[in-house]
Amino acid sequence: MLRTSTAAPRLQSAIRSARFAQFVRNASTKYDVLVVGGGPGGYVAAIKAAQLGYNTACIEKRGALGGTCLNVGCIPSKSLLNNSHLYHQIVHEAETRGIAIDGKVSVDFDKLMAAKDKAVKTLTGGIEMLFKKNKVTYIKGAGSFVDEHKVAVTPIDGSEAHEVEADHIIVATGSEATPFPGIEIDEERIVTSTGILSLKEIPKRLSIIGGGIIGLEMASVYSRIGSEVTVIEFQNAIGAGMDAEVAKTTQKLLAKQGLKFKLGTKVTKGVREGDVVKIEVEDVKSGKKEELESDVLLVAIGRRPYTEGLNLEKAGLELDNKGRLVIDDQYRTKHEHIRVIGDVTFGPMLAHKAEEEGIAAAEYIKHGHGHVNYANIPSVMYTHPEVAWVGLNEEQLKEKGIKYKVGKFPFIANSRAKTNLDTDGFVKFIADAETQRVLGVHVIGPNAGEMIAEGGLALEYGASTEDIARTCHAHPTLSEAFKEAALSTFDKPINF
Amino acid sequence: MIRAASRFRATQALVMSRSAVMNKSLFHSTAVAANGQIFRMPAMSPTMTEGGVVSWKFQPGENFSSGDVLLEVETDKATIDVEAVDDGKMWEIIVNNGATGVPVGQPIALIAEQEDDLSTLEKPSLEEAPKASSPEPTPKQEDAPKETEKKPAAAPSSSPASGSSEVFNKANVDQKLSPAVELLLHENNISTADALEKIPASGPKGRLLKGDVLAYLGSINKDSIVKLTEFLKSREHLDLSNIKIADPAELKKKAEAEAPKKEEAAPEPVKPANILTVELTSDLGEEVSQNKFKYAFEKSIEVAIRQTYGRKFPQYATSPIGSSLGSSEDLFEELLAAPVTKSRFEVYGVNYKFYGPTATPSTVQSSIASDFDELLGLTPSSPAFVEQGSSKVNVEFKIKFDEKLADSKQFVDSFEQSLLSQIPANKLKITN
Repeated sequence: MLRTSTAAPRLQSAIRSARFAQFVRNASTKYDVLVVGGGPGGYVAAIKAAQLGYNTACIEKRGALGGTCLNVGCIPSKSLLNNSHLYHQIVHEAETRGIAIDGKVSVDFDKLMAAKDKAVKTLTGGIEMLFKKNKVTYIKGAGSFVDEHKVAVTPIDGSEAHEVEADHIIVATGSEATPFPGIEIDEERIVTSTGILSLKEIPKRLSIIGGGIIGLEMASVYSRIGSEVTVIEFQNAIGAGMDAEVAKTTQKLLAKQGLKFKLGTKVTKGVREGDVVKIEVEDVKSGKKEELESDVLLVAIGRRPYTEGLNLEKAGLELDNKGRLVIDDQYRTKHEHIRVIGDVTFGPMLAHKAEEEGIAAAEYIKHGHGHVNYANIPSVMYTHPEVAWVGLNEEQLKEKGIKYKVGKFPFIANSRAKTNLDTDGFVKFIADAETQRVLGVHVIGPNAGEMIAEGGLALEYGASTEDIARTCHAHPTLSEAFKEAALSTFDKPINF
Repeated sequence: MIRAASRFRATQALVMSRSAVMNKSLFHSTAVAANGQIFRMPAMSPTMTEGGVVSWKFQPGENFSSGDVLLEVETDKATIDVEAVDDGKMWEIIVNNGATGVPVGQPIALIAEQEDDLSTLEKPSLEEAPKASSPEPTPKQEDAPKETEKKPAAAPSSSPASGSSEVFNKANVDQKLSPAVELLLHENNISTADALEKIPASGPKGRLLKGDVLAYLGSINKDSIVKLTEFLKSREHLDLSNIKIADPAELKKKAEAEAPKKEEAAPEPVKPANILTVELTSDLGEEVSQNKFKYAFEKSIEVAIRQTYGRKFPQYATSPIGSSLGSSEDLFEELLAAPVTKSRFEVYGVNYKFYGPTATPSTVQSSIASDFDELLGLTPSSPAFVEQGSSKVNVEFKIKFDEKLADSKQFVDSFEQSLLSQIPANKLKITN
């Protein structure tokens, strides 16, 4: 009895303090900077704005920070890619590497998923910690414009809606998977990039519409752990935006791993019938039809800007014909104090691009200038081997009539790759024919995603391939292949 | 005199005039009015320091196209045709036919865009001859043409090619030269100081690139650097040209058409992911009253919670309160392994629906607080109920778990199992 009597006041005081918190929240709803969206663009913009001395708040309705990238995109997919690759290596390479396995090696799909979830959870929690550290107010709710200075917040915990006001607003609401006309997504059998990351079981057959980065990464994951994967692509090449030569090599290597490709093929129908998905495809050239059956169908044909529920018209913001928020070169909308960054506006839909813009937008607010070099934004595909590129490709230079030289170096001639028994791929440099200025770097091979950073640095400084070739690279490393490829644009490689 | 078989393009001259325009902008803080360009004596070879104007091929007011021969220049070795890089118009000839000994880099003519109106065009200042343009330390000062009166800039140039982008800048003197540049300078006996002083730089922020040195040495043409750099610069910015604003009415229609579909296929759930609704149905024996069931059920929840925590932290199975345990302030550590005192989830909103032959369904709300004191069976007893016979009960309650803690979900799963093992439920439905 004594215990209960103490418990009751405690509960009451808890309620009281919660109410007080609510009251405080309602009373101080004017911010210097309000960021709508807590993805890689939004949360970075919010932290930067707070660091620049602004009273900053960030609205996010997902219930976790980090946006698509962290919750249902780049991060969870990398967990699955890495662990499925380990499994694949153990099964297929253990013997040649001198590792004997007693007993059966198998995938525990639930634990594979749990490892992924754990990575996601720690990282989203980490951003929350960064918000606390930088004193960014985290508003868990859905934001929608009331007018060009006010945003209504509908909290996700069901508490009362309220309004927040801000001098500057940064919209960073990101993107969503583009639906395929006529195919209904149920996120169970017919899934987007979100659903494919949390399947209940390994599908026996997986079909993927779209041979871009998302499609090929997911194809790799499930193919490694036992699915029979078919990639259907409308274009005649995979890896949208990749250098043609790299794309071709990628396709060859992935096909060797068991992926099936149907290029130049369009999908005309995709319906779920019970536990199978019936897909109808048609050869673009010949018009020959074919019917496929699959347990899961992934629709990965791209992403589109996401502005749902934002009530843009209340603030008078404009969209272009592709649904992108219209901005000027300082990310400003027609209201100077409302800026837009990331996937929801122009440019490549990449987390690191959004991050750069987040920093730049905050700096524009503070200093009136910011900087993002759009000519130097790397792309990485985390298949095995990885594919990464930055700068221009041959097609773009041919079109512009700029004379260039190509330097290539295969990993088969690289000592570290050899010792790793991981020798697929090459480094390819494209340099100006006369000045050897680095114009583009394309890598397919082990750790390409890490290697591409050096290419980015070279581009940023206007380096020539000779500069790279004359820079000491450690031996034995994969990066020696990078150096030798640079050398090959104007001279002979040493080790090939 | 040998007449040169090949034609040289007057790129260096144009390039220099561009850097002059740039320099000017340092003095006038307003936007650079790209009105006309200064055409300077080009360096036709690395060793050329001065040259003569043999003859101009265009008269003031005449238009020329890219590739046309503008003039013939006489060097110590040959007479060379100088071609135009871009389309343009001859505006004023400063150094006339027959002049000799004109230093490289000295203005010899003014040129304009073809569409420019020469009568209203502002003349660029000829005063600031770029130092870096000539390998000679100080070019001999010829009598520079008199400064013409300045007219208001009435015809802003529309062509982006007319020097709007400054390819070459004065080299940044604080830079560390790249290995390729350093070696090239060394091979050609040019000191670093000289290079930074004399060689115009096309790299980012005044960086001297290998190509700049090669152009300075005359091994390559500057126009290729100009073309390349302009192209590279054009790609540094988002392409915001040709934006087609969507028709709001059209958008609305599209959104409406998609709306019904979207609801089913919402890719990101609006509902918070950390609240689970659990629903179960159980048969009641004839002798079990509603009251008894409720009491038993709430007890079961308490037991299940205790078991759940106990499984994870055996030492606290009897009382997970442990408030004296040191609590770490480090949020990261907490995320990875939350202390036992941290509650992983709470159960609330228990709602009973009784169905039976004799009784009308009665709905009773009861709450179970997360506080461990209360969960340990110390809650005030539920209000008394009139005993009624019913044969079936449907219970619904909510579990809210702390999604920031990595092990919360595990706790919830464990809790569910534990609960299910105690209650003779024939159906357990968990929705998110």
